[in-house]
Amino acid sequence: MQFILEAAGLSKTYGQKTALVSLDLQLNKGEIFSLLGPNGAGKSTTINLFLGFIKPTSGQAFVNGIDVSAQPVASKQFLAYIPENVMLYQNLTGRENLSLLSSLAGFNYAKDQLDELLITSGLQPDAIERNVGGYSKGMRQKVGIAAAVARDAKVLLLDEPTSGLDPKASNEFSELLKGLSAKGTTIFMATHDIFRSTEISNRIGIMRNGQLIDLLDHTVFNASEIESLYLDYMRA
Amino acid sequence: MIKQFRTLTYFEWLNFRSERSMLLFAMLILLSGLYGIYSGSSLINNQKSKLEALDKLYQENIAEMKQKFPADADAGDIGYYHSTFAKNLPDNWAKLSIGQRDVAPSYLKLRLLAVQNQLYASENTNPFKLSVGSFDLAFVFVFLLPLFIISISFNVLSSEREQGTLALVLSFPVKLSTFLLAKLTFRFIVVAVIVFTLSITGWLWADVVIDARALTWLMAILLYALFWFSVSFAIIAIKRNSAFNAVSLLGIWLLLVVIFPVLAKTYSEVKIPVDEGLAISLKQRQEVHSGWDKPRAETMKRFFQRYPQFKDTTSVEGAFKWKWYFAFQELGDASVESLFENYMQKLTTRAALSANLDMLSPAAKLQQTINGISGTGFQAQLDFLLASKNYHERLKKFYYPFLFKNLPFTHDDFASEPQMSFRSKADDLQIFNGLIAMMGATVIAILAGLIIYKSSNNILE
Repeated sequence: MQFILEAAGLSKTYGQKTALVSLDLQLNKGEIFSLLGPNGAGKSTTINLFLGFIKPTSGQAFVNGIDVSAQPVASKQFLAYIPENVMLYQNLTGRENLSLLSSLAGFNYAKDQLDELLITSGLQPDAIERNVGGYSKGMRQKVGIAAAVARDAKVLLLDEPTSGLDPKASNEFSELLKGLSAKGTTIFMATHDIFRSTEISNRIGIMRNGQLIDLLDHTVFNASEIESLYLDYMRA
Repeated sequence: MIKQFRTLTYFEWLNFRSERSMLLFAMLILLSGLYGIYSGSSLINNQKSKLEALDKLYQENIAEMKQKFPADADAGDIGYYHSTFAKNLPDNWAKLSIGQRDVAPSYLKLRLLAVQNQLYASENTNPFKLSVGSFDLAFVFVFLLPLFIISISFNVLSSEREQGTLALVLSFPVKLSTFLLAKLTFRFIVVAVIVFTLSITGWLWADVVIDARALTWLMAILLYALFWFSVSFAIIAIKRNSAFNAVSLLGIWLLLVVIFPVLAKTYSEVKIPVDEGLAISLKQRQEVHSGWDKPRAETMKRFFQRYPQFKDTTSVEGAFKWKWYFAFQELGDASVESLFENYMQKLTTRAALSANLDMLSPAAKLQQTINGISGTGFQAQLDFLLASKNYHERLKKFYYPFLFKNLPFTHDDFASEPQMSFRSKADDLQIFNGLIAMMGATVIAILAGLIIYKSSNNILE
């Protein structure tokens, strides 16, 4: 069976420092997977390896069956990435940023289509023609989501997506992710936010010191059990 | 990839349009260029005005001679009191690249006397002003254009990384090399537009003849711009931060544009010292002045060895005779002929050495190339010096028969006096050498950049 996202013995070391130790993980289509762990646990390293931003020391990362190291550009055709702080071109408007990003993925949309994508992603219509230099973090994130939708990404990689968002924005964001998942988009989210991850994820991985120490299925454990387990691991 | 390249280039334009600092830099370079055109044109127009006024001065001098000698005159009197001009006429291209024209004379006032002490006479110029140099369009292209290129390209990758946009863009199926190439290409287009705008404005303002030189001019400057983009690429390829890139590129600018050319000039002056200038003046002066004390017969004997066709002239003993006077003037020049040849040879050799050393500096090569196009290089000045000396020979050939065959010099004879207007030509060899040197430097910089790019760390690591 081909997984949409797969890590096979994926490891990364920086000199003497181990960032990720032999990660084995498979994600299915439409799945929402959260990777929980403290700072330095290896969550962002995992995302960077799937994006091909860094090369693994050993092991392989696959996106839709494509080896990321061997075909970094081809593997990105299926991915969309939303970092903790989405940074866009400040001198361009929201629409222009979306036009640039979707064009890079090979999609050329008309002005109306771009506006619809932005509004569907939650951006206020009056912000579309404003330079993103004046956008809040949440607004920039919405443009990022719109870009992911616009490029018809099969996998969404999110790095601390709810960090710094107010509860309302965070809730809206969760709803957006659920909607995308329902349409078949796989979501991989690295986060500290136990509450939000237990709310929306199908599975949750717990990571510490570069190792995946547990993999919890939301159909087996409820939210409070997962939270309790996570806190136990962190205290250990 | 081509589609992505087009997309990235278009969005660079959108960014450029709203980036005030880039627009400000572009405006500054355009304004500097316009001032350079104005300043260069003013200097050359001033020289042209002076050169045009020489005709009036010449005619006034003739009128004065006719008044002084109402009847037929002794050609010796005319040779002594009358002066003519060797004119170094500038091509309009000189307005865009003044070259040596601000330090070398634009004309020489010549009489029939010994020529060697007349060849080096020029107007006094404020030495401080000369040390600073003239501000012309060539200055803007040679010195300021690289700074503009550095200012718009040093942080094309580093600022994207520092602002966080690089990770977002590279999460799309885009190669870093495509992204970087699109950014540098867009900036090259901006520079090319500025170069075209200033060049065409300069050509129209200076009223130059637009021929093959125009194409060579553009080729040389765009090649020079490409060289600086290649250097920027080599530094960007190290993938360090913006501060590192800026300091490195400014250091390279200082080295290639200021330090190397000065070192090359200093080394060539030390390696090939040209002391003949002073020696020529002293020896020629000594020879001419000692002519008064030497037996006239001996002087005339030496003179007739050079001009046997005049040996039947009448005796010069007794009262003062002009032919004797001009004979020892002639012998004064003859005494320094070999020194003068050495002098010219050494100047040429030294210039060649300096030009070879300048291979290390594309800035010096561009200056030489556009001076070559404009006919304002060092060789053009040497050519003018030689042409002036030849003109003096023509004057002697015209006056000596009157003088030594005792023919009366009539007022009508002024009309037959030889005239001289020198106009330097484009120095094809210098242009060719300059273009080849800049091409070589560009290829080296691109190869160095590619090697560094391949071997440097992942930019997001």
